[in-house]
Amino acid sequence: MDTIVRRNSRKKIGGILFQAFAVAVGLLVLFPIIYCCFVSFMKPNQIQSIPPTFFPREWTLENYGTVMETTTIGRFMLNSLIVAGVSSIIRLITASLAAFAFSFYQFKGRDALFMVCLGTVMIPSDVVLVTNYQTISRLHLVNTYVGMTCIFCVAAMNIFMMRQNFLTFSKTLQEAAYVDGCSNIRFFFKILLPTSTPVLTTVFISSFISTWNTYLWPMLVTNDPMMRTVQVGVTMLNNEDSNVYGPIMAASMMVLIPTVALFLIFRKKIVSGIMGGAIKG
Amino acid sequence: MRRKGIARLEPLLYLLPALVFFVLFTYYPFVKTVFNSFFLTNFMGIRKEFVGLENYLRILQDKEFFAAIKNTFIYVLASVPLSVFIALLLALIANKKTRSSPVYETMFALPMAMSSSVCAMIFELMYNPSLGILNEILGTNISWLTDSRYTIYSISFISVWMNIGFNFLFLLAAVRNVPADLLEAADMEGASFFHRTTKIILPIVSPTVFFLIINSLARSMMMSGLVIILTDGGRSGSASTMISYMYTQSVNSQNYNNGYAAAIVAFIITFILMLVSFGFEKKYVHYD
Repeated sequence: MDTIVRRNSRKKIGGILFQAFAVAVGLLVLFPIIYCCFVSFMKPNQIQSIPPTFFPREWTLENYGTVMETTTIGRFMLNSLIVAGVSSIIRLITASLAAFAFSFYQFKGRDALFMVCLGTVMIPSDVVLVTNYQTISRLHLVNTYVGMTCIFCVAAMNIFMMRQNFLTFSKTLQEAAYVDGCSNIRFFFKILLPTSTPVLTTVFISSFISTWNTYLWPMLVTNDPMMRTVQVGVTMLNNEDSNVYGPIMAASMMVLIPTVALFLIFRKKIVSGIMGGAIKG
Repeated sequence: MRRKGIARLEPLLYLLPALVFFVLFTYYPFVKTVFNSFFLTNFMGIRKEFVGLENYLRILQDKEFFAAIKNTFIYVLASVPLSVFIALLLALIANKKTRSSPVYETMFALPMAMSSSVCAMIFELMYNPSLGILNEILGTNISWLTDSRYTIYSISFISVWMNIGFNFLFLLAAVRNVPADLLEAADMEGASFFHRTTKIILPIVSPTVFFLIINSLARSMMMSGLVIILTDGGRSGSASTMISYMYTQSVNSQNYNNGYAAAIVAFIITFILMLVSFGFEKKYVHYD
């Protein structure tokens, strides 16, 4: 009896030690973010001191103040919010309509068109970056939200994911709706979409994060400082003066907090979305 | 009769928005890039004169582009396997569910929410030879980003870190899928942790490992953002990649002749690499 209790308690301590170890590994993984956070709260003279240190000796909001005063980060944030928000909403529309057609209709050429959609995965967006830039510049859309947003308005993986989801939709419910005289488009808006909110949320959140995080395209199609997104803006701080690490880290924190927060809140949805979308179907 | 005709068009109508975007911003520019790569173009990228394969022959003889191809392969080899390996270790650590599982699983996955420009900024400070923490921790005195012997590897490591989270999520699911009775049987026979991992877990997660390698292969071949941010717009060419070469040639030098051809070469190399890896998969990866 005594030995069992002792073995159990030893097992328990082992479990706690193991969990502490795993969390320590987690802190190691997150080291760059923690470092960025600490530096953003340091006094400028501590950042400039050699040897470099890890913990702020004195916590200060000075760097954040500098960013707010000397840069247009508020405008950058707004631009990113508009680009990421609008393109994610349009993605929801394009993907859900396409997935509706693919999963609820029989028509000639359906499978071929589905392959046309999925085939876009084989063409990386970087390969067509320059040509897309020329299209946008010929349409005089440089420095406009339309130009920044338009290449993000559809994604094959989103269509694929929603189709998988729609295919599981109960056929009897669909038939019942038709018998009741519900038109196709009414069925789509009143029944299908409201019952599919989990997959809609997943698509919206993951495309918001990925568009918010894009660098190259917004950099290419904007040269007006007022039209820069946060990702471009934060790298621009770097070129002005070499001693601005404090404000740069403060700006980095401000840029990463929205996506990290979304990730923490919607972790389960994002994870299930990624796994569902990527597993070969 | 007429109603039927409209009904037939209905699904196509729903497909239209998606197809319009696909055609305008994926297929049309792709075909146009291929087409333009056979022409001499002016500083606006407008076709002037058909020259056949001349653009390709020129960039393939360009030392800078050759270095860019080589660098791209170094990036891929230095970052893809390491990122999958670290993620696998993390998945093995997180395998058993405990009370604090949600905490460290989130910590391991979090790097995937990060953007390349913010990562570039953070690592630029960490890599700074005098003010950065890295030399202080390692007790070294290395110019991680400006010493051309280290630049590529320093940048690769950033992409290793950024990819850990994504790879971890997949490997965690795969590791947890290993049948419990298999592991129990191994425990009964007194198999060591190492033995258990290599002989039972690894073969079962191998399809996931393969999927992740293919997935990151394609993305790493397109690596460019970090290089452009960290090496002055890719201008200091020692670390340039195929796509950053394409970018600097077209955007900074308005040399679209080289830009288009580089884009297509990058596409072809990546495509071939994918085909080769699928062949490899058929031969070596077990799905049973």
